[in-house]
Amino acid sequence: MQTRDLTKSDRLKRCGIPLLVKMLFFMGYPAMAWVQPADTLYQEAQQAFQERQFDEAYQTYEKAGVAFFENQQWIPYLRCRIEMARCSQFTSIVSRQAIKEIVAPAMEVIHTNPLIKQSGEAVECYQFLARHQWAIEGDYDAAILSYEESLNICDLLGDTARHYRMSTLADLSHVYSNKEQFDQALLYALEALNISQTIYGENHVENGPRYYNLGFTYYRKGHFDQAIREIRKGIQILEENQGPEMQIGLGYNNLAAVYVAKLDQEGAFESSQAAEQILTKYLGPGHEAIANIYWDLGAMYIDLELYDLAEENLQKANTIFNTNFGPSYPQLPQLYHQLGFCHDRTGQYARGEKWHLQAYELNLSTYGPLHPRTGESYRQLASHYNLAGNIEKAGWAINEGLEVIQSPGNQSDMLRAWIYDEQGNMLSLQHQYMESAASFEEAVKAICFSSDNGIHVSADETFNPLYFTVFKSKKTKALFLASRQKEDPEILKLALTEAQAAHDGIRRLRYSYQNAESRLFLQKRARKHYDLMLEILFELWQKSGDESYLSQAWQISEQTKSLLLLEAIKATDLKFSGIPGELLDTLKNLRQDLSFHQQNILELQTEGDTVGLFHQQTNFFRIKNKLSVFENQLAERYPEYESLQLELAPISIREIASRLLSDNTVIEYYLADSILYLFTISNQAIHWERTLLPPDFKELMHSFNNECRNLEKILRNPQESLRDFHRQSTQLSSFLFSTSLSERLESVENLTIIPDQELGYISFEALTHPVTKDYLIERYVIHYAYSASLYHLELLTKDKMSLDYFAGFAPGYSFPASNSDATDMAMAELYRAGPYDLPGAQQEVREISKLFKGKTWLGEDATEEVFKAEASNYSILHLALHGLIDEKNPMLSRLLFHQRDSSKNGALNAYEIYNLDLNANLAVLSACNTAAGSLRSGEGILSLSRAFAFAGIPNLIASLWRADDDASAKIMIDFYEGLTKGLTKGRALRQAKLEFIRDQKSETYQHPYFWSSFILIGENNSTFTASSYLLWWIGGITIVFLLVVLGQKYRFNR
Amino acid sequence: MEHTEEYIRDYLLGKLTPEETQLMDQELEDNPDLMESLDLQRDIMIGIQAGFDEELRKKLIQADMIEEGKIRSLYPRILWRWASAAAIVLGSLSVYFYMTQTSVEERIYLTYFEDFPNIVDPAQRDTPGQLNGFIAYQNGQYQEALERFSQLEEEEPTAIYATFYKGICAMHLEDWSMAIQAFEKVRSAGDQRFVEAATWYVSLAYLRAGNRDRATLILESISETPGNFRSEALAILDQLD
Repeated sequence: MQTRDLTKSDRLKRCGIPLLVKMLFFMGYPAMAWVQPADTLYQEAQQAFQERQFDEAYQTYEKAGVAFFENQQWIPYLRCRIEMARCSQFTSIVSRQAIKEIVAPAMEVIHTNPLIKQSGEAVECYQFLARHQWAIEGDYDAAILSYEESLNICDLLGDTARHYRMSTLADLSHVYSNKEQFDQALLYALEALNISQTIYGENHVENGPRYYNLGFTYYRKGHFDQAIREIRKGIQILEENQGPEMQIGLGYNNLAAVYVAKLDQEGAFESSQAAEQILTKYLGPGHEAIANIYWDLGAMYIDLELYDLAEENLQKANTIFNTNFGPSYPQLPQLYHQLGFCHDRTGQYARGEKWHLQAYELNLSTYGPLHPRTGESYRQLASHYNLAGNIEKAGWAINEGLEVIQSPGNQSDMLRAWIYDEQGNMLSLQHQYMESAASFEEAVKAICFSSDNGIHVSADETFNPLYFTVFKSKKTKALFLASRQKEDPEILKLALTEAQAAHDGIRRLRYSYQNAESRLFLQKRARKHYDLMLEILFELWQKSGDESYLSQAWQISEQTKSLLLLEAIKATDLKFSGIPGELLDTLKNLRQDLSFHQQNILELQTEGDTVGLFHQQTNFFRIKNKLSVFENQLAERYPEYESLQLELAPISIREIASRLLSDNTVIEYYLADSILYLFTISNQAIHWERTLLPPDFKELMHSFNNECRNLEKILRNPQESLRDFHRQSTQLSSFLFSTSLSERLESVENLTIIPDQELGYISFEALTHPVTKDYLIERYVIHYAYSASLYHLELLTKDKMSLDYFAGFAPGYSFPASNSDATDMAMAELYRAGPYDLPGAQQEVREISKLFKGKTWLGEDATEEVFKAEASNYSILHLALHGLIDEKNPMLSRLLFHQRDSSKNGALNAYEIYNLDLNANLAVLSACNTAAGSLRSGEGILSLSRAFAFAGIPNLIASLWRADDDASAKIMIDFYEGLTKGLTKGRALRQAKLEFIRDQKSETYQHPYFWSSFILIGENNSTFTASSYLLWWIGGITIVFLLVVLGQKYRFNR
Repeated sequence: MEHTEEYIRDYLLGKLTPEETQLMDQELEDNPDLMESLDLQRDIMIGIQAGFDEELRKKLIQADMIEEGKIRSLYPRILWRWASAAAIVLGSLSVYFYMTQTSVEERIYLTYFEDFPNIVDPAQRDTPGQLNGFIAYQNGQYQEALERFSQLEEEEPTAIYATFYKGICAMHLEDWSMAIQAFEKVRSAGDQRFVEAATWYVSLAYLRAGNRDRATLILESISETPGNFRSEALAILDQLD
């Protein structure tokens, strides 16, 4: 054998033996004499590896390798080198680049010994070599050759090498994905999965990473939803079979990357968090897998427009990659582009350009001018120059990019789409709108299943709804501007068709986002498109008078209001979808489990229990994954499940009009950037109008809201405060409640207001009537709805309510809480004030309880536990207590009950309310800020009242700002008195407020702050019936009386 | 000796033996309580006579169908009637005494005096009031509130609100001179939040303290300008005329 011809020195050099060992060898000490037996060493190394002592494992494998080499035991020797290569991924002893050096002596042994070449170990050596070639050196072609060599060996080995064949194919799919040759990549990934399933069965841990491969290929191909499905399947298999935790972590790492690409924020955050939790435990903070997490986070922060955070994370990833792999690491150009983009978005174009060019040069030198990676650099450069307004250079980059995508063999649909997208952007900048629209259409076609589509492609034909929507929306804008440029209404109609297609894309995308937060974020993003769509529809409607435009506009307006809430309330429709009950039960249980863990996480976050938090989060991720896989299976097996979610259409404008009583008018607002749209609907007529808003409209709203809420100013100078309030109110009314609107509403008494965006903070009762200059409350009964679709559901709830089931809560706060018990600032402030009893609240519940049958819990009896246990048994819930709002995290807004002991703070948090199942018809939240909270574009204000609506209560009385204890008590008592007199809820509340205003002798209390905070959210048609118990009594007594009379008559006759 | 209702009823119906009747007569002379029971029983029986059909009553008596419980159930009704009558009489007497014994000033005061809301530090349902004086004031503990406001007034002479609410507390405690002094001080201090209310309250205090002329003068000034107490001032002036 050739090795025998080597000198001792050569042999030692090639087997990679450390210097000390070499010296000893030359001094004549045979290896076996001073080291332990090779087998023992090997076992020790294995043990160390299992215990994650990677440094020790690496060194022991190395020693064992030397021993095996000396004994000419070549297969164990190869095994040692392979294990050393594996350890090198986790150890700090050698750099990540060392793989090639580690494997090289083994390769030499393989090359010199044809018999050894026909072994599984040889296959693994080729695999390691190949991984180094593509991952570190970026040399995909060399890697493919190595893998092919590996496959050849597998062929020779036959069935015994199926496992090696599978792993080689899996790696190859990865390489082809990176080469953007997706057909080949997909083929290999599927074959690898197939082999794995044949060897191990359908549900074996080994299949997990194979699903990752498949997912990765779909991800690179731009099929994000499919990618998520495959990766989640992999994670689930590993979790169910208690596979290696690190593999699970890597799965989450992959998942995070897909979610980032899909702009699914919540999914990305959750997956990154899960990956980070697992991987840092195994790999330490300096591993490239951790760098990937930083990269994902950086990309997400760019998306959230938090550029400082984005740059910080991207730089961390950059440092790790550079440390591990040096400046020519093939992933670095992508990272540099992202850093460049980060600077572009903040207007730092010079710094941005530097990063982009650095990335471009790296790609160009590594892959050459026609490689898709270099194409990606052209696209990024084009984007940069477009943003910087440098048309000339953008044109150059686009032309270079076009050459790449037109070169033979290019399979990157996404690159094709992006290059055309940049071309569209550039043409728009040059005011060539029709040409720009054509480019965007080319971009759309690139991401469709079939390339021979007609002019208009629908959302069903794309594999990437996200970019479909983006390109279609851009095309809409281009056509809209073209229609203005050419004054051609036909182009405007084309723009509408495109806008509708983008809208379909948004709906499809929305369905694919499984997190509420992600859906909310999508709604926010979609807002600009909807603004544009309404502008187009309004112009077309004005020109043609065609009602279909109005109907479409209405649908869009409804689509942007409380859709999540509507979905939650309509979720009960699932039971009519034909899906078997047991599957629905599983779905329900999984969702409940998820809520439970979510609730625990929030609680532990508040308490700062990091150990418990880690445990809960792990469970949360596991269940989330399970739910996700289950939902995908459900959608595959029962298309009704998908269609129910996709077809969640808002109520039509005609239908809502037909449901209204003659004295009721609905006013729905849609607030665009500089335009306010107003839909006025009654059962007689429908109007749609548009008001152009001044640039300072938002400031005007802000000032009005400030005047409403500024208690300090009101107490200091009530006259001035009232004067300022009226001035602001009159100004704001001129936009929100114009003279023409008031004329139209002359004979109307009942107004249902459906506000939009920041208008949700406004108390319309306190606005000034444009003609009479009174408060609107003096003229109208005003109540509110989250959306017309939800209002319609409220109208369908039972007409009459019973007075019997009243539950009143007015806690006492005598528990001597200290500041140290406070979980946040708001709580600390409350505790600092000392005893914080609310005498008005207790009096309020006591007085109301005299009017109703039911039960009240006062003082120490009014605890959170009692509320949770009893609330679902009553039809009216009245809560008079402290309410604390959390602007940053609306889920932590809370109502304070009596604190029974120091271990419980008595707080009922919003997230707990969301999980309650309440049956009440009306909840009166007589506390501070119960209708206020943070605004989420597309969903409205995330308030405590919304949480109660979510829990099943259709009608709510809640406060838009703080509630004065004394004033609230007076208004609430009068409100309930009104109810007992047979007034509707809205009318009773109005009357209570008017009485309050009339009775005030202090100017301070005449200010709307004290009376206008509480609003009715819900319907105003139904009244309360008399007590049902009373009816039973009356009925019973009548029967007894009749029996007595009949008995007497009978006896008399006898 | 104790007698059951049935025994008394038998006595009234003449069902007892001559010896028993004689013994009962003797006892009635000696025992006023027994006499009272007998009177009551008689009234009940008269009531029965008045309320029932004569023939039916006879039938009932003959058949001995009047049960003890049934007769007893009539007690509350009778008592209620008596109580109602007594209440009407008492009510009428109270009105008479109120009209004749309380002065016009007192009546006006009772009609028009109301607490003034806390416009300095009202409790909100996310933060309680900080000033203890107001907690006592809102809980109706006027003596304690007065002490706290007085203390605050001493410590911080510019805190005119303390003087104002001290005046209200003094009104509750019927210390008219303290109230007048406080409200006059508030009026002269010129804090617009309290001047109008202080003027109104001081007019009531003067009225209640017997200084009708001063009160009228102030009430006239209130009635001449538009304000929150104008209609009340006009009504009082009407009554004073």
